[in-house]
Amino acid sequence: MPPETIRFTLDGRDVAITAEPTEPLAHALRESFAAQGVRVACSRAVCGACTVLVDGTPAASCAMFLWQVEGACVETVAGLRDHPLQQAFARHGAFQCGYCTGGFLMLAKALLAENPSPSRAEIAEYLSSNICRCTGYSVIIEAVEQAAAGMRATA
Amino acid sequence: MSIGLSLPRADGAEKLSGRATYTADIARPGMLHAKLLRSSHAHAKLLRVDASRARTAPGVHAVLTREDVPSGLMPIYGYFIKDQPIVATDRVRYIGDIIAAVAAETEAQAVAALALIEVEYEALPVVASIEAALAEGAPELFPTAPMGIVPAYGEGARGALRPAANICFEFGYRMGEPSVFDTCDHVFEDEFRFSRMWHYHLEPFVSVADVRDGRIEVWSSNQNPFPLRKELSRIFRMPENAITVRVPYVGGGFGAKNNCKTEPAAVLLSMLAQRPVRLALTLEEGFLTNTQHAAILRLRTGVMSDGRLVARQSHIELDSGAYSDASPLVAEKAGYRIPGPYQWEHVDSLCRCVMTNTAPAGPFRGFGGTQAAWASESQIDMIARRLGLSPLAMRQKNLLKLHQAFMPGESGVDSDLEDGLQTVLAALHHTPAPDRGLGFAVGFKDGGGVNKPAQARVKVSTNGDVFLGCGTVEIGQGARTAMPQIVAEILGTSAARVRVAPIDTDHTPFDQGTNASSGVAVMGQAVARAATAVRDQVLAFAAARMGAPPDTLRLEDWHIIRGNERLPLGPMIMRHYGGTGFEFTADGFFKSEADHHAPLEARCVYWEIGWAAAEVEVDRGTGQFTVTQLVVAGDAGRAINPMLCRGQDEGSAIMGYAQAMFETMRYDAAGELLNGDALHYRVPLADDLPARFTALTLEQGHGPGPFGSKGLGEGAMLPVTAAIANALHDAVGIRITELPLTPERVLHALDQLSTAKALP
Amino acid sequence: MFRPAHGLIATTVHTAPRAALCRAGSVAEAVAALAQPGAAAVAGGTDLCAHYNLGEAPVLLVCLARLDTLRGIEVTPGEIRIGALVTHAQGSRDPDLRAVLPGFANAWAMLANPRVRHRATIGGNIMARHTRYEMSLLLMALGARLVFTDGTRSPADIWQGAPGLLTHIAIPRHPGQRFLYMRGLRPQLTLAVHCHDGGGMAAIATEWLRPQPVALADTGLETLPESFADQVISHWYARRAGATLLARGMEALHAA
Repeated sequence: MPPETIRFTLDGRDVAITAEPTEPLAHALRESFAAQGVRVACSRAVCGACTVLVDGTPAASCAMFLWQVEGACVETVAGLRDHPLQQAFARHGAFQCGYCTGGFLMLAKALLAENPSPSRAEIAEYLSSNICRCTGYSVIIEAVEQAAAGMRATA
Repeated sequence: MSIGLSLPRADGAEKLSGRATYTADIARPGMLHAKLLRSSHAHAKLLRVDASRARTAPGVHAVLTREDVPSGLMPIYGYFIKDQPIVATDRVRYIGDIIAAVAAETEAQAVAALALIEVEYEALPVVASIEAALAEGAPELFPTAPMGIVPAYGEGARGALRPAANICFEFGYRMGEPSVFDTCDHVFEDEFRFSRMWHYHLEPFVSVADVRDGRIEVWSSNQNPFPLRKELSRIFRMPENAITVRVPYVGGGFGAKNNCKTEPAAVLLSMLAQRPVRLALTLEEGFLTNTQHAAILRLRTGVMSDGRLVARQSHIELDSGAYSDASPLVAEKAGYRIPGPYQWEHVDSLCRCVMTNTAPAGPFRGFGGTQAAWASESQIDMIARRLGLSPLAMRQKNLLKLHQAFMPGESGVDSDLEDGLQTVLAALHHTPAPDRGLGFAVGFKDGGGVNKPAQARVKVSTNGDVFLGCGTVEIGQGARTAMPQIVAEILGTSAARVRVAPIDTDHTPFDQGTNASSGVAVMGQAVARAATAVRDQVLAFAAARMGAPPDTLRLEDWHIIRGNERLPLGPMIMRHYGGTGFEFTADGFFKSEADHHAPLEARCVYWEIGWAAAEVEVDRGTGQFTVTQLVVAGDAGRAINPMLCRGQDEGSAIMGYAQAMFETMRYDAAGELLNGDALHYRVPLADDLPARFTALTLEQGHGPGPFGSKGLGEGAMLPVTAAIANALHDAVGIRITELPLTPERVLHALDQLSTAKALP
Repeated sequence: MFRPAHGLIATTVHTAPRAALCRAGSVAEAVAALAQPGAAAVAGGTDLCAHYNLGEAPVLLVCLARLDTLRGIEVTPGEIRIGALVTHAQGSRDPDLRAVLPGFANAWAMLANPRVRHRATIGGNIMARHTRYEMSLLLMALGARLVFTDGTRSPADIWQGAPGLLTHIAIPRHPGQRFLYMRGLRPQLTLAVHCHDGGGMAAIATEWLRPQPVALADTGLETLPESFADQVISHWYARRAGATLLARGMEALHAA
């Protein structure tokens, strides 16, 4: 497959990569854009450790290809700069081994963009998209709840 | 002040930004990628393995089959029993057993090359369950005994290799006289079945090996770098100081990542290819690498009519899979813990490791204590009800008291067991209703490892920047946060000034491994001793400079405090040592003393307790039930960091909850794992949580660790399965003795109960 | 896992050779591309990765994203017509659909998980032909027709594969139409119940078993084949719990 130049924005920067358009997105992000926070665990779009945002919606980057982000806005955890979610995760200890954490942060970001005032049940339902084996989820739910409150207060 | 503060995790900046480095992120110049060819037969002789076409495939730098193992190596590893080959030799013993490995420039090239390897099998009969493996005429997985040892045991304990066909090891413990069974008012015999889960750590098994110039360098997602180094030294016949193991952050372990997994193959490929080699397994391969032990537990318990426990004879069979791995150690613990935290006159326990044609079973959070608690805490409730006693009264009558020895020669239990039980019961607000029930259980394990040595080193620079060298791997439990808090407290500085050095076996002080909930209680003591020794050095130094007795001085914020004086240390050090300054360094060491009177050759460092209370509501129409409330507690002794304590108890409790409700590996009789993939293997998700779920961290204050601390991490998992089964019993009168507690099992039990009630 | 004749090899999308790409500009182009050996369709892509894990490595990926005629939901007096590329998130929220068949919209909103719903499509869910994905269960109960470029099929017929491209799903409308998806026992057992003034039907499935039709009058699920059992549940349980779910579903739909 001849390489193409694929242009998109990544964490706010306009980028271009010349590669085979059928390169897996997670692989391209990690290898060509040093996006170490995009982590591959199941390669089956189940665990969500590889979650990124594509035009604001969460997606398993292990299940996507470069051509699918042409012209899109792609966000990874690296683009969060002291985000209220990161602050809340830090305060609540909403992570342990950390392997799922980037995925959960992006998932939560998408949730709060869609629904700035989610109930606890809505948070739990949305977060059930991704797997965490360490925390048992309560602290992640609490952190998202608190971040949402803080973001509403400063909105 | 650091102790008792829920300081934000020290690894937060890295993990929340995504910049944390795990072994999965390690890349070396010229690194090749390895993939494995695994057996599609559960049990077969390997007649032929022909990799000739793979060797010349594009991009291939090394191929490893049984023919490629250099002579002079010891390519078989294990714990007590060395039975697991790096690549299969004469036979394969489970679907997934490794036959060959290829290192190539890309993973795609490695896969393509593996597809060119020809293998001829001669199928052997398959024994994929404990019953099948022990049946008359069952094929033996190891017709020839592998090399093995039996460790020394203390009073009452014994071990043996290969007591029978397909049993690689057995552990026994006996105390008191069997004749007391004759004095009992009742003797109850019950059988329990424990299921099998996979650890499901998100970071896969992965290592990078670089062999060159007579040195081996390994980066590995591993929980015990020093034993790994020792095993590599033995396998590759190289001195330990020619082998360096580095462990960055580990993305979850839960026991899976102990000792050799991907490392021997990666090292061997690197030797053959003369390039660094990365071997990363997929999630599906993880299921085929190491699992929890399923078990059959038969308990014969003698009691008096008033509920007093007298005697228990236990027979446990662990499904150890195709290779022994840590099974003998798990057998020790399941066999030792099966009496539960109760007073007995006589105990006779036997636990056997049964080899089956399934994935090797090894260390899994709870380590025999989960199996034991499932059976023991279920039976206590069953017996109570048979005697017409409440489950609470039955436990109150028999629970070990604070400081009472678990068994003769053992240390005393350092938690108030009844207090913890009352605490979880009080926290669960239960109102009786039809088909709603309450159940509880006390989980219990000897924590801190056995005879386990730990070393640590603390260094402080001229400016008061603190280095901690400590081999406890950060697998998520928060070691990199808690240990600095201990150091900071002793040195009178802030935890933020204490950094844990990367783990590198050349420089990090020796540690036996990150396991057995031994971090704070064992390594923490070594860390505290090192910090104390450094503090004493600093005070002695200052005392000499100031001409004052050291005991009139205090260290705080890298200042010397004497009465009203507050002198900065930096200038004091520079004046004495000159321009380049100095570093204060000290080591700390801890190991519980060997004691032949103790059953396991050393008295238990501390007792890790987990209490659980559960409320369930049952839907009689489908057998489905909901855990409406789950309250768990662990005793931290003195919490170093309460937030971390809560994290351990919640995480482990949810694993227990999952085991009770739905999570299980399913093997068929042919040794095929039916649900070993991300879509079908169900792990708990955020919306699976009980409506009310609380983890309480108790601080009963009796721990031997620094500042009265104890360990956490496994305790809260232990009681949950039995607590839920006991709640079902309370709710609708059914008793299920196998896991998981599926809707079908509940419905079936309800039917049987109605039928039994309907009989005249 | 990839299972060649001689062993197992763990493959993923990352270990496969790169495929060629066809960005189909028309349905005809997509059909022609998919007719080539080793071609695979990519809609949302959330199931494609699983095929790589089984050792399948398509040589040509056919991107359907430009096929706008496969999007959109149209409600007419006789049927609801849903484009194959409608995602779960879009479809379940479609106001026209919600207005006429809210029970199905609610069911659609429960498939997969919130993350997957943003990308996964109704067509992809059906054509993955995976017993774990439940759109074919819902559509069987609804008596839907699957409209392919080369003809129309019923949900029960998808398992053999289809040469054409699925373009639309047509759900016939009926007076008094009501629908309920009973998912509480998932993944062990799920049931979809469809009632209308002139009749209706139910369908039952498990994560391992293809959906089976269930007549609403078959209150004891007596016609459920003996083979309807899997590694988790027995036939006995499927009938017992299935009967409970059916009774509850019917009661809920008639109370509504």
